[in-house]
Parts: sequence; structure tokens; C-alpha cells
Amino acid sequence: MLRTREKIFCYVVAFAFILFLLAPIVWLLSTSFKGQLDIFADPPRLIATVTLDNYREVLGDRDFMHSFLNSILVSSGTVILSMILALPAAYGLSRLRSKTKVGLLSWVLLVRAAPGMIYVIPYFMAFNELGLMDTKAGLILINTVFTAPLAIWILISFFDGVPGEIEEAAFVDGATRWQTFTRVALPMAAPGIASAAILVFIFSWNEFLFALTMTRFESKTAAVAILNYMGYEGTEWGKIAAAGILILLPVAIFAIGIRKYFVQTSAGGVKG
Amino acid sequence: MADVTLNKLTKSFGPVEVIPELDLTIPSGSFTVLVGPSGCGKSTLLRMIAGLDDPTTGGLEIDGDNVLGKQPSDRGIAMVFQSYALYPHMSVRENISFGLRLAKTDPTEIDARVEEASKILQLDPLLDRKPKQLSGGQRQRVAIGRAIVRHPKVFLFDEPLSNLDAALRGQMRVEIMELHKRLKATMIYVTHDQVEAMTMADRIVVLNKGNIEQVGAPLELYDTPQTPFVAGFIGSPKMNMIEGAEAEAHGGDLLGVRPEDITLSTEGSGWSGRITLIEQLGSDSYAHVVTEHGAMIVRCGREASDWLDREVVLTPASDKLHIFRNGHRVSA
Repeated sequence: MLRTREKIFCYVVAFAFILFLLAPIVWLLSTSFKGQLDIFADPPRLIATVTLDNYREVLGDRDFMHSFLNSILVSSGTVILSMILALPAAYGLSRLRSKTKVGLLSWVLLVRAAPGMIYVIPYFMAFNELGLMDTKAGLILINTVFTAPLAIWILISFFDGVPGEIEEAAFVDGATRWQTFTRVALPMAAPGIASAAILVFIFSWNEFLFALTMTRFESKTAAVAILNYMGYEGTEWGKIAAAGILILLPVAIFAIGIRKYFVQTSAGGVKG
Repeated sequence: MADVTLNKLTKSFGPVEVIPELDLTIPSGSFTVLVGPSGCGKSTLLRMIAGLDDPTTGGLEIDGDNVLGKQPSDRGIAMVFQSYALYPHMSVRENISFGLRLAKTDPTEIDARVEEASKILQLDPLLDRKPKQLSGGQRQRVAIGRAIVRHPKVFLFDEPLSNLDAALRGQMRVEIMELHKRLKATMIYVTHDQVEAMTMADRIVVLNKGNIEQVGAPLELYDTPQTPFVAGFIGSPKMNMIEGAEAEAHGGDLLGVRPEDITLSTEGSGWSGRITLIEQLGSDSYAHVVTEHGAMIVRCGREASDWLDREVVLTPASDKLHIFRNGHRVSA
């Protein structure tokens, strides 16, 4: 049991950290409801005259909304493709008992750890040849190169947590390896799958470098489309803030909606 | 019902030989307990019968069929694991019927079998619950139910009661014995607990370092252990062992006598010693006595509770002595 002073210390540290993390978002939210004059008021005010003009204009901007829809499609596609590849890969690696497992995992991590910039030129040339430039499929593909290793690393620990005896019970019950994977291991790793899916979605949603270099207009994502509000005539901070909040919303809703999977456990299957 | 035959079976993990060449026939319909200390290879043996591990060499037959290379589900066996191994995301009903659903059994047949098993194991009110909503005993009963519905030729139990508390263990022991009486199936039960082995088995196989020390009925093993290992392993408290001149005097190099085969008195002839501790179990009392031949445990009456720290005389029953030479029994 924590003593009162320790509890207070924990709360203070936690709140300070949350404030540090949320401060830019609070500023963004505040700016999104301000007019141009209030944004540059001196001294700055957190709460000014509330206006919905920024949102009205961003939501009425067909280019931005097109990019927003692209973001949803590309991120969802990346989640699906990453999971299709990462789930069997993570399960296989988790069940591998040879020394090659460590080597394989290192290679998987290396792909993820390498800076994205070094992939830009080869992919740019390859995509040009393959006709994948400025396509959602191309963007999904390149995002998956980076998100699948991340998903594999997250999922392995969850598959490691599925007790061997439960799988053996399934074998005795007549399940094949594939049936054991799909009907026993996958449902038991559901919290891990949810966690991996959220992180893959967020990574893909926020991805900027490839979206900037591999798209023109047709497949431009929302993260890149914000740049449209930084023109020669000046920067439209209100619209940028409103667009930023709109970009943040799906991720926040997705994370909150799927939160329960983080705390779900596989309790009861084996003696704990 | 089916008999199980292990023919010159061996198992090695890399350079480590866990089971040297072993022959064993488990008769059809018997309740055979494989007992031995941790690491003696009993679970490995069970896993090879189940098909979860492959033997290094040798043959394995179930009901006359060579089952080597066959999948666990094609061997006509069902297994109950120590950790229950229930599917946590499935209800009790789904857990029990999982194997039948995989085999694409007719749904009406599945319902009938689940009902039959749940009636035997009193699981009716629990069928729609998830494993985490059950107690340890109920979970193990579900695991047994999962085995029953498959109508296996051979039931395999891998230390199924080890995770239960003492009271529940006693209750489940009776339930499994009643189940055997009812189903009359061959049951192979692995445990390290010799009390479980003695109370449940109609045939005990004592294993030590992968070798079979002795096979027989519980009382046969208790009354006439063929090796010092079996003599020491079967029975609680353990058999008293005496080496040296006293053993030589009886024609062996090791002399064994059970705690209940020694009479304790304050005078007379026998081994002299001093009581250092008395364990009161209610029905019995056990005196720990330091004698000229080493420390011994003797079953005694309640009157001995006043004898703590007193000099006493131990008189073994001459017809209950177990004499061993070179690791083997020399007396009947």
C-alpha cells in the first residue's frame, strides 16, 4: 500500500507529465476556435471569442476532405495488410525453438529501425516503374513495410503468453496447427492484436515522409494536405489548427473505443 | 477399452537420455498410475503415449494398433492436463464440445454427449460460464468433461490434482475413481504423490530415472517392495532404513522396516533410542527416535505423547522386515 505522501507524489508526477504531453494539443484546440486576430493577440489568451469558421472552411474544403478520406482508406488498408502478414509471422516466430529465431527477429527489427529516408529513392524508382506512384495501394504497401515488423514484435510477446498446454489440448482435441492458430491462439492474443492494430493505424495515419514523396493529388493523405494551408500569401493558422484537430479525432476515437482490449486477459485457461 | 504397449521405448533430448529402453504393458480397463519423483520421466512417457512427443526409438501400440507417427487425435486418447488447459475464450459448453465440433460431429450428437458428460460431472449449471468464472475443482472437472465426450479408448491424466488444495484433491480423487468405475476405460495417471498412487491405482508403475523399478498392485508394492527405491518411495512416513552390521546380521546390506511394524516400549530388548519429537496426527502419532542405527520414525499410541525425551526400546516385527542386497530384495 502506498502511503499518502507517496500517492501525492505519484499524482503530481503523473499530472505534470500529462500536462507536458497535452499542452500542444490544448493550444491547437484553442487556436482552432479562434479568429485570426485572437490567434496573434498579445499577451496570448487560451480562451477567446469562440468561432467555428475554421472548421466550417476546412470541412468545406473538398481537397482536404478528399485527403482525409485517403488517410482513412490508406490507414485501414495498412492495418489489414500488416495484420495478414504479421499474425502468422509472429505466431510462427513465437513457436520457433531454434537459434535462427533470434537472427530472424533481428532482421525484422532492422527493417523497422532503419531511417525511412534511405527507402525513399529505391521505392520512388520502383513505384514509378510499377505504376504505383500516387496510388493508395502503393502507399499501403510502403507503410506496411514499416508497420508489419512493429506488429510482429508486439504480437510475438502475446503469442508467447498463450500457454503451450492449451495448444497441446487443442492438438489432442483434433485441431491442426492452423486450427490451433485461428481458433485458440488468435482469440487468446486478441488484446495484443488490438494493441498492434491501434499502433499500426496511428503510425500509418501520421506517416508523412512517404505520403509526401510518393503522392501528388489523387492519394495525398490529410497529414500532407495540411501543407496546403501554408501558402505564399501566408500561413492560415486557424485552418491548420482545425485540420489538426480533425486529424487527431479518428485516432482518439479509435484508441478510446478499443481501450478495453488493452486490459482484457486470458484469465482462467490455466492455473495462474 | 484398450491396452497400451510400450516396446523397447527410449527418449532422449539431445545428449540427455530421459528414458532408457523401457517395456511396459498397461492392461485394458486398468487404472494404472505412473509414479516417481520429479524428473523421473513419467510425464515424458505420458506425452509419448499421447503423441505430443515422439519417442527416439521403440514401438508404441494402443489397442493393438501401432500409433507411432499418428496425430494425438487419431490415437483414441484424451488427456487431462495439470494446468487444466481450458480455452479461456470459450464457455464450458464450447470447451467440452470443441473436439467434437472440429470432428464435424452432428450437432444433436454433440448436445447429447455434452449433456451426458455434464450430468456425470455435475456441470449442468456451469455450461454457459467462462473458465475464469469457475473454481479450480470446477475447471478440472470441465477438463475431464472435455476428455469424456470424445469417448476415448484411453484416458491420460498428467498430475491433474496438483494445483488443487488438499480438501479438493481428496474429493476429486474420489470422483476420478468413480468415473473409472463407471466408464471402465483404460486410465493412465501420472503423479509424484505416492498417496494418490496408493489410493487410486489398481496398478502402480514406479519410475526412477526413466527406469521401471517395480510394477504391481498398491499393496503388493507396499508389502513387498523389490528395491530400496520403491521401499522408500511408497509409504508415508517413509520406511526406516538401516545399514551396517544390523543389516548384515539379517543377511543383507540394507534393512527396512515400516513405522507401523515397530513396537515402542520403555523396557525390554531391541534397538535402544531416545524420542526427540512426537507428531500428533489425531488418528495416529509418530515418534521420531534417534537410535544406535540412526534416526527412525515409529507409529505409536497416544500414551507415547508423555515419552518425549525419554529413552525407549524399539522392537521390529521379525516377519515384517525388508532385507535388500545389492539394490534388490532378498527376503519374501
